[in-house]
Amino acid sequence: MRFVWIVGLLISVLASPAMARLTIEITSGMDNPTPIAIVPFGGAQGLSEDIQDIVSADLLRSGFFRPIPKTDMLAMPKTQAEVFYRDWRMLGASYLVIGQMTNTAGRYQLQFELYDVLSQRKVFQKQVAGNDSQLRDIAHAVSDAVYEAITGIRGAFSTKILYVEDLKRPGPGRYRLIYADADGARDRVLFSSSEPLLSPAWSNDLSKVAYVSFETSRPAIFIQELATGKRTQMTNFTGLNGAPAWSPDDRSLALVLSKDGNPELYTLEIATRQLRRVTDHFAIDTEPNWTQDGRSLIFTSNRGGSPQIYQVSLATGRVERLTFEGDYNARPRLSPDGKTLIMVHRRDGIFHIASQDLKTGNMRILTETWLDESPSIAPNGAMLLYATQHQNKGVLAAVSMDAGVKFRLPSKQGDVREPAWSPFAK
Amino acid sequence: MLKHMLTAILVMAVPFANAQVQIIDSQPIGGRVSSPQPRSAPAPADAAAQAEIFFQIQALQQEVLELRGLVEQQSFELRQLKQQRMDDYLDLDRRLSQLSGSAPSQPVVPSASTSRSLDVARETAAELPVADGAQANELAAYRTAIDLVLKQRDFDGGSAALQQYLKDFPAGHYAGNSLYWLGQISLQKNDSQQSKRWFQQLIDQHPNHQKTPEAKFKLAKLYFEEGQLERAKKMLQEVASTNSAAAGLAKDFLQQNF
Amino acid sequence: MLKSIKSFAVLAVVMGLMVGCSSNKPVEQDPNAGSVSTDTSGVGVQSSGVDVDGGEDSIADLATVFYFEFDSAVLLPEARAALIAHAEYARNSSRSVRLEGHADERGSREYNMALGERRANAVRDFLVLQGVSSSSIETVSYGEERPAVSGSGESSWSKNRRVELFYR
Repeated sequence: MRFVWIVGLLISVLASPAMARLTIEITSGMDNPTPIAIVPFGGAQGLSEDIQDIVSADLLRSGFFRPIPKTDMLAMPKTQAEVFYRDWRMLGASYLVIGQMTNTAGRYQLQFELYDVLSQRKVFQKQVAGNDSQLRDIAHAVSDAVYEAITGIRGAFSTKILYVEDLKRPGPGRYRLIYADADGARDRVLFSSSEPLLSPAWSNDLSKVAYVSFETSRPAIFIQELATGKRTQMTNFTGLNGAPAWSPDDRSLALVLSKDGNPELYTLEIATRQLRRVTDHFAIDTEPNWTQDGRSLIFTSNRGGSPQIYQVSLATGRVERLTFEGDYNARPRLSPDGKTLIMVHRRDGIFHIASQDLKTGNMRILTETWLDESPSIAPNGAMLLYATQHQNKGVLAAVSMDAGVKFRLPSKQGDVREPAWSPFAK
Repeated sequence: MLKHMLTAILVMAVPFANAQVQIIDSQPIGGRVSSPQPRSAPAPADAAAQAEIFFQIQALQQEVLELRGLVEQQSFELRQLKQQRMDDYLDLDRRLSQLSGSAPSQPVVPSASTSRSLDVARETAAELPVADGAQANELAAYRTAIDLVLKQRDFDGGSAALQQYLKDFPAGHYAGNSLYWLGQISLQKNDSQQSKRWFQQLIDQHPNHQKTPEAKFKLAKLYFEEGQLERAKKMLQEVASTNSAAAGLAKDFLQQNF
Repeated sequence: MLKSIKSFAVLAVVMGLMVGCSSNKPVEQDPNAGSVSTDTSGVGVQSSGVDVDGGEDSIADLATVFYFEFDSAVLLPEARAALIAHAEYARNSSRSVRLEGHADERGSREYNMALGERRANAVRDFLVLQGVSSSSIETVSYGEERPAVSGSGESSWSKNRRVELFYR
């Protein structure tokens, strides 16, 4: 079976729920989303989670789909024999998802099927299983399978996010590092502090996170194991200790230190603690991000008088400027296919998230909000999360890479910011 | 560079700085000399002068950053302009070659549509690496040679210049184009044997060059005129099967003559 | 002659400070070797206590917050007089100086963190030039994490782009 349930294991050892669940408000969808009917699954009533609801919300959020309300459904088939394509054509549904849940001694098994209503054929039949605490994972697995079968793009509904929450009241627990599902549900506090936390970063194997904490009244980089909660302080140099980024093989961190007088990029081999300086310039060099091949870093520098994105080769130290449009381009992130650069870009005094095609150099502004920062791309490259402000509060928002789909994830309390979208589970 | 210079100045400055400390702190010899003393206190006038220098250097540093930004921006724009020029040039070269290649000996208008030809030109341009340094020299050499041929119609001078280009840049970006034009010039001068050699060299050395189908077509016609019909037919069929402007010409020729 | 040597030395030191040391050793061991030993707990937002050197009056009315332009760490001329007076006090005081650099909320967080540090360093370099021992000055940047004034708009932003000076 394709789905690996390591996630459930992780959650059980984490701290108590944060009770700050993000809600989702869709602000812009695609012009012509595909209508899909997700029929409430047989045997799934009365559970602690509404599977059909979660799948519908996932697919709606992707922007590709318009789930048909269950109150409009003429029939609720549970098996193939009960499927009458005519009913679904009348509702305008292009696709239909049905399923049957069985519960054997606390273990839930969902068999689900996807039908193409227009061509009147079954697309697939799959199974997914889990325990009581994994009902949401079961739902996201259904969403992933349906999304991939129809769009051809791997679904990222089962992935996780990290973000930083500021409760804006002095005292312990003011700043919290939160771990949650990609839809904001099942949030858990990984670490809290009275001093600022920032720049959370996933290891590629999903086992650890790195972040900056001011708990010693100075910035320091920590690595925290998700399974055990064990924290290790990696740096505590004079000056800046910031912007950790895991190398593709998870053996090194790229980071920023100013111990030699100026903010410079370094790589730190985690096992040996061997530090290697990458850049050397009296201006600011910060916000490193590895290229897929692990051979160079993309970073922000103001060596040209204003922040712009540069690339430095780790082997030769050769630096090349990548952005030339506008006078503020910072916090670069590369799309998973390495073809698109995402960054914070200022236009007409307003800070947006923008994308730049690396081949053609064409830049495009993706967001309509302002004070946008900290873009983080989903591992399937379809969407990105970023931090912005809404009604004077820090909120997370998402936008598809083609700017067609937009939604917000406001927090119920405090400011939220610095989202980090996890890689895929291997 | 600048940074190293500044660092060097700092290193040089150390003895001077010490000297300064000694001079200012020089006191009557007494018991207090060895006691820990705060660092030299600049006299009011010095303080102001130092502040002034500090502000000046701050401004200079900012200026240097901005100038660097300007240089980065302008070298980017230069690179873009060079690329643009090369794209335009290759496009022009291609159009001219279509005209001169079909006008004298071939009354059939090339069948390829303009839009498709444009695409071909763009693709070619995209594959070309950015020109700088040696590549710029290479481009200049080729351009001089081709100007002699196309603009000044100086075939002898052009032929010599193209052959010199091939000698200087045997694996240059325009080696294929050079061979093609050398073949064309020989054709113009009715030196069909030499023409055949140039075209054959292009076909052998640059089988995937954009000029190769056209060279093949012309070579085939030369064989046809010599009466090597089978050889000509085989080559024409090869050209006809390609996705090039010459394919249309080859098809027409095959239809009319075989 | 002496004067010219001195101004050259000053110039060189200033340049050296602003450039920062750039050791070209590519590989170093043990990241924690550089940790600050003087660092204790809490953030030093203290009011000025009684000073043994008795120079308290001289700094009581001085500005302790210095402001900057957007995306700039260039010390503004307005700061000069107050900083010269602070230097005078700090040179003769046993107290150490803590400089906290900040940025406004616009732009990216880590970049702002670096910007805050450069602002704090600009003040530090100025004080060191005025004879304050660099070992008695500690700098830290909070980037945009600790605005002095909340809210969005130039009136808030201009108050948040700052360096705060504390004696401790």
